[in-house]
Amino acid sequence: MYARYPFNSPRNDSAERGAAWDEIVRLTFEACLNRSEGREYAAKRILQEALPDAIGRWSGKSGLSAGTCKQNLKAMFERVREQVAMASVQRRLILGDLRRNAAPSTSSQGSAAAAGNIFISRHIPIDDVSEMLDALAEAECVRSRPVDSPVVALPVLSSQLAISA
Amino acid sequence: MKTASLPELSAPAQGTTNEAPVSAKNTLVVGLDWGTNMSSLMASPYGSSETTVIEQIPTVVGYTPDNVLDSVIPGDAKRLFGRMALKYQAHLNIVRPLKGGVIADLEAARLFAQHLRGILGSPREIRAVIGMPASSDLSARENARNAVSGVFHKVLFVPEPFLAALGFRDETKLTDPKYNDPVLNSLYIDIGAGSSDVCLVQGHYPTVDDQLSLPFAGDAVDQIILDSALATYPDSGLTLTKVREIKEQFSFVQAGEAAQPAIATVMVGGKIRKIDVTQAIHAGCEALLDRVFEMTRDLIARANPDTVAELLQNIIVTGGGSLIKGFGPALQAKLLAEGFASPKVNILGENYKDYVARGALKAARHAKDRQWQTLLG
Repeated sequence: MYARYPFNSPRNDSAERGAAWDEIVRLTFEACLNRSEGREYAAKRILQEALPDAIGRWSGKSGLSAGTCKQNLKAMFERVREQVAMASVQRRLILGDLRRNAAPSTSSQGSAAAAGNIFISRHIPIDDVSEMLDALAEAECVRSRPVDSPVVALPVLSSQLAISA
Repeated sequence: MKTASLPELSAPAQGTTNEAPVSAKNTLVVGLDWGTNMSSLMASPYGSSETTVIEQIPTVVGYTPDNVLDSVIPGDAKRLFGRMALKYQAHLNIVRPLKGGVIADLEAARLFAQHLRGILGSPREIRAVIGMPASSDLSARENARNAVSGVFHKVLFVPEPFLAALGFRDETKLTDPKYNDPVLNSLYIDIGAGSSDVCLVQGHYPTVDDQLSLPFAGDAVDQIILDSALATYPDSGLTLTKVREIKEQFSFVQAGEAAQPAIATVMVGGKIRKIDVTQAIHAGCEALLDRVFEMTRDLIARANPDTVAELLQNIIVTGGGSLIKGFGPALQAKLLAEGFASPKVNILGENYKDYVARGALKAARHAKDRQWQTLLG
């Protein structure tokens, strides 16, 4: 799914190095996706725990200078961020279509919850606006999942997320 | 603690201004209360506490029909918006883009959003927090997103009760011991066009358990008044638009015998005719009062008993319904009759629209780069 090499790496990288890089890419996607869905705590956990370790493992084996490592990582981070942002837009559009198509069956269900209203479920202090916005994003994401739809995973997004070498 | 070191993916710092990227220059943050009848718009430069735009615009689009003579409409415009559309409504096809607080006519909504965009000047980027009714669903958000795509660059949709609470709080007075912080223990009642929402705000944003919403509000009152008036005056030619006008002038609750008769002037077959709509208005407004009272009573019952005494002192009514004459005292009287101790109902009055927009602008100022939803251009 992901490219096995950082953008400037030599072609004879070992499988081990490739796997370490793949892990960094995977974790970066996960962090970005969590953020885009308002799951800031999950994103922070990855950024503060899993990702530094993965970067440490890869950079130790890469044989690249610190500057090159940083450059490769920065380029990859930027691309992942852009791809996740684009995927979020696509996701909204696709789910919007799914909802429009499903509208006749859901509109008769009546209750606010069934209609997909957005509620937050935890106590967030009034002055913590940022946390409130994260909670709303998370709630919207949960509400927008087409649980009853056969299209639970969106294959088009998976392919969009692949990084090209 | 170790952290992945690249700035874009590091955990963001608290606050807003210290994380403004260079690209944020010439970016405008916007708070928008996009109401069914009236929209309130506030804006300020990114990172600034100065509010540079404060506007209230009737949410109306007027299309010029082909048969209108030249020079009747200023500049022979194809479309007029807001007050200008209302001023020339006799010559225009008037469309209200929103119904019940959500978008009903996407094309008109898009044009109206473009009109708002014109008020904001020419910043490089516009980020808008837009209030949505608490009862709005995902489709309503999606429609709103579609309407502002290509108008704003980034958006966030936030329930209006959250924004009203945020907007109603005056942070500059928090250190004043005499200041009664309205978000510590209050009950907000927002009576809009499409829904009435009641929510508890007790230091935190209302959760699903802290709010009740009913699709019965201004529009439903209009319908009751229309049906009742037409039953008495079947040939009066009343329409919902005319009823809305009459309601804004005469609405009242529980004024008893002291109520002045509501005599509306209507045009029937080119002749002026006066009709008594007192009973019709009474029926509509009382129905709303009863529903709001029931929701208020039910929500008070959910609050922690230790907080109720203070909560009863801070019942705040906002929205167009709050402008019904006598609504506050009437609700207070009903609560008292129900046995609640010394309830105090406060009406936010004519400026209620500003609170949601102000709260939206506050939210926009606090939103982090990563939290904004980017729209397709």
